[in-house]
Amino acid sequence: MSQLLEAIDVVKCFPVRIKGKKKLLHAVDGLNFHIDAGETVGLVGESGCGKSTLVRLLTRTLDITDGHVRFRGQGIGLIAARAMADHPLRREIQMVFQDPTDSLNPRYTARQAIAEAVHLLTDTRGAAAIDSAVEEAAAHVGLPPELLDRYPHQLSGGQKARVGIARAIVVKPRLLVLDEPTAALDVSVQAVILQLLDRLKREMNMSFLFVSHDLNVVRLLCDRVMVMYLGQIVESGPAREVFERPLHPYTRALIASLPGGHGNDSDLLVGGDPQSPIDPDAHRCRLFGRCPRGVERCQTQAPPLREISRGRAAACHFVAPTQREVFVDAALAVHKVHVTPARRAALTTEFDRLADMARQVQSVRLPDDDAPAPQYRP
Amino acid sequence: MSDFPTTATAIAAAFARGEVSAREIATATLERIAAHNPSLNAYTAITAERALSEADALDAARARGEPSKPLAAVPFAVKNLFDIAGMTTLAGARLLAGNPPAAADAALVQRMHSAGGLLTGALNMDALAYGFTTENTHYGATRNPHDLTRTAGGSSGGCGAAVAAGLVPIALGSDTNGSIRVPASLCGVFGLKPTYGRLPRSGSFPFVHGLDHLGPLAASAADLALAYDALQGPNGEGGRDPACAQRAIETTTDSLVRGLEGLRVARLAGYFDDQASATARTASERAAQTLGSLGDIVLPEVAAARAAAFVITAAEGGALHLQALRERPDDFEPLSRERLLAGALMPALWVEQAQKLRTWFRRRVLEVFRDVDLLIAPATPVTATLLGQETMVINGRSLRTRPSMGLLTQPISFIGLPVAVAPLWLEGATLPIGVQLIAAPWREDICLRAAWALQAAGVAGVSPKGTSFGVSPAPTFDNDPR
Repeated sequence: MSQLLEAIDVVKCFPVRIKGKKKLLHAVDGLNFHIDAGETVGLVGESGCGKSTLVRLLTRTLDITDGHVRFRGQGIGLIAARAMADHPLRREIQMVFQDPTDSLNPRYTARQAIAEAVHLLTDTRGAAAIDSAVEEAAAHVGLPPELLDRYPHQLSGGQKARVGIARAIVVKPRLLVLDEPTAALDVSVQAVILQLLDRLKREMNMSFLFVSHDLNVVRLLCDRVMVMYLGQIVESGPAREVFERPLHPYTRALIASLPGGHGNDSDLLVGGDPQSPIDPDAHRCRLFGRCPRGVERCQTQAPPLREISRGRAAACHFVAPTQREVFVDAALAVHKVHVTPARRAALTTEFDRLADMARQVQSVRLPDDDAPAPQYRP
Repeated sequence: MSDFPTTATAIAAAFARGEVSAREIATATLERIAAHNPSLNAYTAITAERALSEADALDAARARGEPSKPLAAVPFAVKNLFDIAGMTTLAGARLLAGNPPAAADAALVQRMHSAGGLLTGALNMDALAYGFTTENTHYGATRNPHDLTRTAGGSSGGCGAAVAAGLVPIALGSDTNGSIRVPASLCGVFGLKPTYGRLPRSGSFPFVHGLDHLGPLAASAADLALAYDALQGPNGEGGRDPACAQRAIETTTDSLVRGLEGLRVARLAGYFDDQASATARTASERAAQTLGSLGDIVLPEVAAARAAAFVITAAEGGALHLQALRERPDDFEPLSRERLLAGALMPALWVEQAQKLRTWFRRRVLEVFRDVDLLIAPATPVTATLLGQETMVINGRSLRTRPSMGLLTQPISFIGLPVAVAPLWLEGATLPIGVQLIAAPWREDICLRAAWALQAAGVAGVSPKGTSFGVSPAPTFDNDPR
């Protein structure tokens, strides 16, 4: 699968003043991840973990402090947020906001709200052409045509959510970022909107990034999940595997705390205050103090996010990588090759393919022959 | 323009008879390239000035009464891993774009030039020759002339497309695991991968030293033989290819008309049927029937041989590029970068076992040639797939498109046997598919005679009745996801 978006060592710091002293709040602290074309990725974590900052970095409404963001192979991390309005990429990355009421202009009808996106971001011109694009998008999100001429206050929460989604997909983006898309909705409406998103995912040829504190949303909709804690990704992997067999203590705790979820009490986080995101100690694991397993080493050596098995990564000293991962990491170190986490994951896949080939070769029992493999001559 | 002859054989003959000037041929060819290349993306560089000055030199030599050369006034082009004096050799890779221009032509380009060929340019390929579809992220995909939504095959995809579209009658390509034979099959042209060590590789960018072959693609069996004869010969002065076997020239053109008289033919079954679509099997059966096959033969452990070729390729390719993988990963083709890196990291044991299997497999296959002179197999599992197509289904199994296109070619080049590909158009087909015509080492003449016989019988050829370049009816294909 081809890579749509890649984030490499992305950092966002906000300067703060505490008791007159200048300090830095590390909202996003060295993130590495990728989203493939057609893939649906979930980003979970509790409030304040940096999810929303990350969303604003990816949609380029906030400037990054350090690192690289590539979209379709093109560096976009350095595009200034204020220049983004006129940038062609603005059409390709679209956003669905948390609160449908806040994000809609009360003086625009649904039709006008959706049409505005077409007008601003595409070359479609002429009332008839724009109208047909609007109606197509409305049909996609299940918004009846008769509601298109209503104002937000005349629409229900679920209907407003549909308008918000239609506004985003009408310009046919490659990546749709949804920030807590159901959080502001009634429970009964949530299920309907989740079904709608699930259908869109199958029908539309685009990638999705779901940002949510609600693990169930992510479990239902996502191919892959990334778990974030205090500005860092602590675990990532196929959604099903992560939920069935969480590796990182923080993920285990999140899942154990779900009503009717897996896991048990010993997985829960211990008391103790979370560490501060302000000038954090780079040598200490961010979970130390709340982690049920924390030891001395966790205070002196922060565990890096590393490949644990095919497609799965975690940042914890207590999660042991497979022998293959140990081998590949050692070989990379010997050859002094540094790879991004996205490439590291792809490397596992390729290494496995070679291992499969080697096994096929080994399956042939050759006659005993002490001679070394001769120089080839046909 | 259409008044001019289009095959190499006919062009050289018309020039020798004084019916046409080299300048006229060069001009018409460059016009054709300018008209069709934008939709095909076959060329990465067009050497118009060089073609015209080479043409003028030939016209002047003819005016002086000098004897005509075998490829006089024949336009050709080369995969962009061949050195062309004054140009940077790209090998399909942005990684190499900053290299200085080549000081001299590659050995085989020199030979084409000496034989009277007119160089028209450099052709697109998969980056570093690692791929079978010429979907090049940095230089764009080459499109199949028979259907522009489909791959031309690879890695010599520009060669296949340029010859199939009639831009040039001859192109030079390279074949490590099938890179001449796959595009020949998918674009429907003739191709020859000679015996390992036959043609010198000096002045071409390497991929896997122990598996790399160079060879021609052409518009007819006769053109293929004509080009091959011009390319033969040991390392020339300053030649640097240590694998070149220094064989004397063994011309083939004159033997073509003998057809397959006295030769024993068999069809490869087993693995070569299992890994082929119904279309590909039908093509191999049709060729076998036409050439009077005595029956089917099953070679032992072909799947393991293919796997071993895969392992050796990744190991040697990875080792070759390790330093650049370390220092300039962003300049690599994303479709093959991590496969190269994995190859550089793998345990030596795997490579050693693959080499041992290679020796064993070669012995077993050479035994077969005691009883048979020619083996027939499909060249690709399917006809051309769509650009961007990730998977294909063969006999109910879903396979990754890009690496699997070489399933049937890899086991043959693995042991260096000479192979010609002849393109077949089955009844009602809108896309061609090639068959491999495989002989014992150094018997390229047999491969070429078989290709010629298939063409003479009306079974193989570059253009089907009822299909012309750029006009494609709405067909159904044997391996489409849509």
